[in-house]
Amino acid sequence: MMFKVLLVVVISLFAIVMGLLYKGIDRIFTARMQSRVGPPVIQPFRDVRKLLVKESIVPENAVKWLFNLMPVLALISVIMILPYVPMGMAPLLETHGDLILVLYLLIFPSLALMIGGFASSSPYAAVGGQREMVKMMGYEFPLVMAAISVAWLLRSSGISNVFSLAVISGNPVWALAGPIGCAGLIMIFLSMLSVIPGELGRAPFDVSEADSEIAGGILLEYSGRNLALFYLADAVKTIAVASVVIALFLPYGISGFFGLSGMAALAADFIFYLAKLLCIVFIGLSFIGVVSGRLRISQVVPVYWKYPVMVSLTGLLLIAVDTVL
Amino acid sequence: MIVTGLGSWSPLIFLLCFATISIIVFFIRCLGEKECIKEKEKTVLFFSGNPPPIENRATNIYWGFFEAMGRYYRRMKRIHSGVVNDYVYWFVFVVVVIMCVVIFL
Repeated sequence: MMFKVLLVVVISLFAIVMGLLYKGIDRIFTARMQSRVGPPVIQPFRDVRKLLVKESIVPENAVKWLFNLMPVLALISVIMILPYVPMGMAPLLETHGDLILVLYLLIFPSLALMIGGFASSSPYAAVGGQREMVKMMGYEFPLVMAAISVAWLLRSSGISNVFSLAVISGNPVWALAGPIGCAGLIMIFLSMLSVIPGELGRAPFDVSEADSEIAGGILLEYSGRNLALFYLADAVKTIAVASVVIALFLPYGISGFFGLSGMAALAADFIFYLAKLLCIVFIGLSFIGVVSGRLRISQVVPVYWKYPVMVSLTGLLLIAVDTVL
Repeated sequence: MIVTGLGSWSPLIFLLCFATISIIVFFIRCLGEKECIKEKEKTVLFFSGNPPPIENRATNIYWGFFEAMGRYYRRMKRIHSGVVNDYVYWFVFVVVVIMCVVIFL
């Protein structure tokens, strides 16, 4: 048990470092696609260091304990996801939690942001909090559809513990479905990619911050170490969300291909996982963010419910047809 | 340990994990500057240079829902005519639809 506790500490520190690193890489990708040089890859580390040395400001009308607690809870809840998710190897707590738990934990950072925004008593933050709520209504549907589709496919293949992430990553869905089912899985995968910018509050779904409209929205009144914790939570959430996508749709390792075993296999699979993470960050965040402008708040839910939900429902239907055939 | 056959959850391990990660997060928080700025003019809410409203704590928490789902609410309001016969027709219609779904699927 002590060894597992130690590994939780290692995973937490790894997630923070990798989250900041991928944030830096995302900024470079974005800058290069916009014909800019962009900041150095270690810029997010400098940002955090700078925020940590700055004094915090708590607005005079704020609910102070909530205002200070929410950044802490946001970071805790987002780090909590990682021991339950495969990261190039079996999840650390594989038999102690499943995909449903991960889906609940994914909701919490957004809730913490919202409550923190409301607690600041700023009108801009209140608008940002309401926008965050509306956005959650939009993207939760396709996210849950993806989870249910994968679980259903596994269940219809006679596999038990279908919500266990170790089982999901151990039985790649592409090998279980026929051609029609694979077409359905591709549709669900695409709708899942559209969930990533929503979950992480990036363009075109960055309506809750929207600098040019509501001056930063939820995070407007945050500064110093509180803002640093939200910044870290956002970085770690990138790793968590991308890891869930990888576990559901791209759980393959590379060690078998090269005939590796033991530590060499673990290392090869882990490096391959980091490469997959980079691809997901590039497609789900950098690329979608660069090619699209911010949606209006009245467009977010209709866009999510018209396209990703319909696409994932069609995908689910195709999987159903495939299992019947 | 809760095991359903579809998945599992161990609350004790969850709490242990929560406690461990809480220590790490509080450690990171403690690395930051502990001083808070208390000067009156700096703790006033930002409201684009205007005096901020006195009380604005989620007074209309559902605004976002009404705004984003305006068309849905307008349609639902039209359906709610207040005539009991209309509600009975709707009830019968929904029961028929559910029966069809249950029988044919």
